[in-house]
Amino acid sequence: MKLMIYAINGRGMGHLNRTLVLASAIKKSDPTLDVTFVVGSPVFGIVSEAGYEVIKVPDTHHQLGYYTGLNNRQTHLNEVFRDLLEHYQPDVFLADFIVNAELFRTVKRSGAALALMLRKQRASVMEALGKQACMRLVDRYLLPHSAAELPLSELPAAFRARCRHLGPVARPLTQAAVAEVRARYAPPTEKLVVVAIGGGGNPDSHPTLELARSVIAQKSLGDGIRWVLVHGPYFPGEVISSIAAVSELRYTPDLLPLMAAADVVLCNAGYNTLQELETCGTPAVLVPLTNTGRDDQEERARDWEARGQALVAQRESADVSQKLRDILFEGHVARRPAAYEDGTDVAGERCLDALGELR
Amino acid sequence: MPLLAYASEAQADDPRGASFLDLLSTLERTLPGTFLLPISPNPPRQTVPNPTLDWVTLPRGARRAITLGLLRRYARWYRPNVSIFAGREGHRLATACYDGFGARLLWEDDQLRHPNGTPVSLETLATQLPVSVVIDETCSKEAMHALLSARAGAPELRLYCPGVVDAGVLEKLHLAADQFASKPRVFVRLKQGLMNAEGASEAMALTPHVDRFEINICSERELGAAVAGILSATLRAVKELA
Repeated sequence: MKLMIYAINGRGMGHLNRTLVLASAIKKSDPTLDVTFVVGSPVFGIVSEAGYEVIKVPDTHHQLGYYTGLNNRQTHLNEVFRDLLEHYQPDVFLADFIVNAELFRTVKRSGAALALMLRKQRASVMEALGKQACMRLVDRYLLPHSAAELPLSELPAAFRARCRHLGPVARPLTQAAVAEVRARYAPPTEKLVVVAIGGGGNPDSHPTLELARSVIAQKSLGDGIRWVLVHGPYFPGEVISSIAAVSELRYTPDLLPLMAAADVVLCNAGYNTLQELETCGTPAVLVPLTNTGRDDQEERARDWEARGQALVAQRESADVSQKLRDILFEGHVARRPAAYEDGTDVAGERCLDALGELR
Repeated sequence: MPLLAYASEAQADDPRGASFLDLLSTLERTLPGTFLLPISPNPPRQTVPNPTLDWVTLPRGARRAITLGLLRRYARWYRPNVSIFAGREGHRLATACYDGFGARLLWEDDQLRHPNGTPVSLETLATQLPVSVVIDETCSKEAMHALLSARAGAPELRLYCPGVVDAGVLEKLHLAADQFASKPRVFVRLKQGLMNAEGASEAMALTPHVDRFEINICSERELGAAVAGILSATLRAVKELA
């Protein structure tokens, strides 16, 4: 089977990471599978490094590119896809995630089956999706969740027969990687705080780094704390130099074990970050963003707090400092066991079955 | 608007293929503020976000018609002022069926030239390519001043405002206009969108500034783009009436 995966670039890494994990899982089940990625992300090198052919199309979030050729962008992109589909002739076109009637029609005209990765979203967004006529063209919806996490009843009725649950699709975690990363960033006698802002492309997430720097400068948590600040590959500014107790990173492929190795993670409440934190079991201080479109970070953060997995902080350094202290020294949030079992094999097999049905 | 640079598969696979990367790094160094669009089947190994460059790749081993089709589409999409082809083969391939690449130049033997062989200096290129500045909270006045000094001979200044045009942004816009010889073009992306009162009011708040800037209202969606065109035209009309 030939599979073309279009991982759109948002301001984070969620779509790209998820499809990469899924691609490697389905390749494990069927090594003959021919996978080509189409991405707009400027960090497309991570796809070729993973061993896949990758076509880079214009980055819709590029500041100068955005304004250049702005009108009829969807038409232009659709024409690019027409040529790519003609060249690669995939059996299945899998998008994570886009709603574009013109593109959907182009895919169907090429003879490929159309699959969409559909993750949990706000009920109102899901309802609106159900009303879009072009969604009728989708042959298969792949849900990167368990049936318990996203019951079919939460999806538009018209979608349900075409939906398949894959189970969680997340990067696998190993004990060896966690131990190695912990040793790299903090001696056994000290505590490790990891600050992550997802892809780093959303300006609204940047103040979280500043909040962390403010807490560091005030030394309000005392000595014996190591910090790792991860800016994200899309962070627009320069990453400042690391100092002894504070490591400043733009991007690390080890973010998952790093979060698992931490005593506490300070982050926003993005879908993928929290899904990965779920795997890690690490207590978190969450500073939810409010401008995230399809997402409701505030609701998700409150849900995590209610379940005893995190504390929600206001965008004030005093509150962030207090919540970090509550977790580090008062034990207000208990660490849960990390999930070391790799569920991606199951997701890969289910995905292969779901796409195989379309041939 | 951008500078398109194309290297074919054969050119990039050439043992001297690194010269395409050399070319790009020379262009970035000597033409700051130019939006660079490299197109090649051979992407760089390491890729990081770059504020003035967006690499686009073509399928390796594609039929000539596919490669030509994609190149043509990208040229129509971005309407480059100048297109540089690494080697004659790429130039022949691309111009065989499409003439929309803007001024066409060759990069051969580490030298830039017209297809007729006349050498072209980077100083000449600097007078043909607009200089672009994104005006947001990360744009420092000092960096903008340095950039505009370096590109004083540019034919056009394009100022992009991705966020709300508040007092801080307006100050930077006026500073840029003070420093540049001709009237800058300002591109505003309405934060609240176009189809609501907030967006319209944000757009109309720009009317006092039409004497200093040519203001263009932008929107991504095609319906929004049509309305944006009307708003931009309205701003121009307001200026004429004034």
